[in-house]
Amino acid sequence: MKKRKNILPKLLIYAFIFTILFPLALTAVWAFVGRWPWPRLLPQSFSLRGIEEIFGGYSGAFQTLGSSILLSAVVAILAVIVGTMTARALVLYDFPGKSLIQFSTILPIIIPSTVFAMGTHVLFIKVGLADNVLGVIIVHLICSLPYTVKIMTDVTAAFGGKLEEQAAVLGADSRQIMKEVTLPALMPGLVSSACMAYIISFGQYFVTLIIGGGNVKTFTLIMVPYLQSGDRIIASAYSIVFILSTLLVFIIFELAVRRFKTDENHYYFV
Amino acid sequence: MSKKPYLLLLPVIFLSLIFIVGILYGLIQSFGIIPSLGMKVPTLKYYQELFTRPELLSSIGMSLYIAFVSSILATILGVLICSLLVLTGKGKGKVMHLVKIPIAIPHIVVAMFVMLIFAQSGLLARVLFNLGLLESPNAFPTLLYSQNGIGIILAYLWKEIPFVIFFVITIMANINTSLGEAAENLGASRWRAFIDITLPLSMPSIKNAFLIIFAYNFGAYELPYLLGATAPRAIPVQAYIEYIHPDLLHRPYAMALNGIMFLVSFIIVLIYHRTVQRNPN
Amino acid sequence: MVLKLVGISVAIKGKSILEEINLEVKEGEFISLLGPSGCGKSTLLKTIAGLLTQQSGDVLMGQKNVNDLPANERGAVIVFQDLRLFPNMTIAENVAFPLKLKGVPKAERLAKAKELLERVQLAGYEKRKTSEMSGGQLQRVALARAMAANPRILLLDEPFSSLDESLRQDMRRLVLDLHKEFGMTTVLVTHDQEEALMMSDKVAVMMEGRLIQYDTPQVIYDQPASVAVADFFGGGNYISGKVQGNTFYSNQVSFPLDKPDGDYLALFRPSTLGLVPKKRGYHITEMNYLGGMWDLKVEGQGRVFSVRKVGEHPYKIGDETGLEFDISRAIIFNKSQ
Ligand SMILES: Nc1ncnc2c1ncn2[C@@H]1O[C@H](COP(=O)(O)OP(=O)(O)OP(=O)(O)O)[C@@H](O)[C@H]1O
Ligand SMILES: [Mg+2]
Repeated sequence: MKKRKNILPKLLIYAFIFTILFPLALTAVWAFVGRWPWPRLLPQSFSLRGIEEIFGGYSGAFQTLGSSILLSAVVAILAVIVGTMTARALVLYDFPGKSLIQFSTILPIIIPSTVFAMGTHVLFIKVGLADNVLGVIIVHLICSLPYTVKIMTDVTAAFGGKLEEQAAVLGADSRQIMKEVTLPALMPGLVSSACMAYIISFGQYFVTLIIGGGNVKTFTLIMVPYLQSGDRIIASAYSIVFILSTLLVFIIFELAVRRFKTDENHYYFV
Repeated sequence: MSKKPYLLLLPVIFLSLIFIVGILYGLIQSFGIIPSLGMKVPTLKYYQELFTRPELLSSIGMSLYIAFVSSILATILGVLICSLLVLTGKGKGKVMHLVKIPIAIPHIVVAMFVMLIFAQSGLLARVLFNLGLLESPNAFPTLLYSQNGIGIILAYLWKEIPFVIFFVITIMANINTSLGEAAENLGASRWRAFIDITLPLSMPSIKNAFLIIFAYNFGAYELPYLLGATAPRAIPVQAYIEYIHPDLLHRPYAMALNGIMFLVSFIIVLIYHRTVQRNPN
Repeated sequence: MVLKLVGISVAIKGKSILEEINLEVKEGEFISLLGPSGCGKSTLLKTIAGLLTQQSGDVLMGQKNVNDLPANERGAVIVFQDLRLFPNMTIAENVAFPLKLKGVPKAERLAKAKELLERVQLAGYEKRKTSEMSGGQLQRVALARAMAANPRILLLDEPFSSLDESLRQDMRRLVLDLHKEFGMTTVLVTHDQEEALMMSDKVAVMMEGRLIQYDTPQVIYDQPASVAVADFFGGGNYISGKVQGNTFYSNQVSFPLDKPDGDYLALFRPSTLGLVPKKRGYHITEMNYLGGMWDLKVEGQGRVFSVRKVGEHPYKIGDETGLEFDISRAIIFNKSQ
């Protein structure tokens, strides 16, 4: 009796996992398809056409990938820094206007980026930030900040400055507190928020399109035309490269942090 | 009073100001004020026209339809799967890693997933054809580029069911282990305890997850642009078309459409902020 | 190191927490800070250590005003109630942390940490993580780490409160031993009045942000400054009465008392009441064994008295007796004050 009851939930969970993974697998197959005509269930032939299109030099996709990764990495690092500062102020201090700041940090999640992008474009044209990389970095930063602030607020609240107080009474000056206590305690949050900000920036389409005005090309921007034209092979190849490069960047973030961690000391995070 | 918090907040204040001023710029233009074009008199004309031009009115309908159906379904299914994960104790480890994947994949890639599977020549149509359930590709229902918006909704579901799970599972798991156990201890069955205690206490989180995805699905450009019908277009798509119209006099229409999206989302923000303030954590 | 607080007032978020605290702890003295929950004990420690800034008043250490000295330069180390061990470090690294801050080479500081861990009976635990230790062990690690900072002033914030009675005894012993050995000026915050009376040279009683009384344990117990202080240290039997012509009059007892005329309250601790078998007027209604002694409830003249009897006694419930008061140990409060 009891056993039969447990099968249904498990089945549903497996169906859910399948739903997540299946499109990824399908895309990976499509990226290497040569021909796959209707109504065949399996590809007729395989080829590297899609991959060559990206890495083949003349499309410029590979260079765009590089500059796009760089742009998003810069956004991620800035977002982490600003997010950490904001979280610190919100968690450790009480000040007039705190609620207003909290309120304005959640705005960009909920107010559509369409609304924000068009208005900001008008503003940026006035101040000379439209159609250039700096402008794009700023708007990507605004889009990712709600997430980094949230993550860093949680992490900061979890140790709540208590360990810093302890270090201070044990004789640590502010630089030592930063290096020995604050950074190690924040480290897991720093990695997650860097990854989150990176994803948001790297996957951003509409905002980049408007603010960059065609001058700033990102990987998503050059990928969309293939989606529209219905070229499934190249679109799939782009998607796979997109996903793998994101994965690679995450690994680099993780390693960079781990390197820092083993610099002098072994830290044990549970 | 120490100045330190304000120093720490300097960058976020600067960025928030850009955000707010940007939105104000758009809103001002929606009232027909564009000094560089010699338009200086505020007017409600553009908003009034939105509600008289049938295609714009149906844009609003389209966006509301997509947002409601997709976010309600995503929330219900997300909470359901989340509950299953919590109750079967699978809410940790590998499954959660998988749940994070869709959050990291951008909407345009998800649009492609939907094309590969649900297009008239997509994998699903091929399977049905080979099973003899379909005469020709054209007999497969149009899910993409169609007024029923099903392609868009499916894409949102793929991305947002995991988002809801991710957003809700920590609090749900915590409540379930502490209070759920207490309730079970008092004699409630596992499901009873879940439904009477855990679910109601997770409600603020669930509500917030719903608000976030509703606002997003209402105002996002990418999926309706890639998978949506040409008529009626979702508001963001229509707004962009008005925005890049060669005749600059069309710009206030774009901004008025934005104004409507702003109004809806601002109401959502206020509700969200209130739930957050009332239920910290 | 002498520690002196002069007129310290602290407010948090505009709410006054400490008001006009004056306190002097002599070189090498061990004092206890006692008071109900929320009265501001932890706040006071943080102010001494420099983690909070007072609105007014001065903190002096060894005659020097340290108001402007940051926490890390004051040499006043707090052992917090929640211990605050660094989760990213091993036990030995935690203890060695203050030495690392001073730039002591790694081998040397780890050797010193080992020594301190032995001192708190934790030899062999050096490599453990904080998550692999029991509550009592962690408490000793926190203490060892504080000692590694070589504190001139040690501030202990309820360090024993989460321990069971036998561990508490051990920790008290350990703290007193360390105090004797290193001689640092020590302030112990505690909820437990017995602990305060037992361990300290002097006891400071705080209530609602104010220092009510600061004196030796004997004086605090025998001459509490107010009913509230008396109640905090066990209370007892209060008898309302009047003084007229240098005599205290009440329904139960009257005795000579050299005070101006007025309304007074006499407190008789349970140990100052005695039973007189041959007399009448009171009935024994309740007997509670307290380990080595008894608490007897005696009813008569419309009220109940609590009497402490050490050792065995011949009484049983329902017995009728008389009651005698040790008037020399009566604690007198002026009611009009
Ligand atoms: N950060 C803070 N914000 C607001 N109020 C605070 C803060 N810290 C302490 N308080 C208030 O200050 C008062 C004193 O707190 P404190 O922690 O010093 O009490 P305590 O005597 O140590 O109590 P306990 O014995 O429970 O530890 C309390 O009323 C508390 O609510
Ligand atoms: Mg306290």
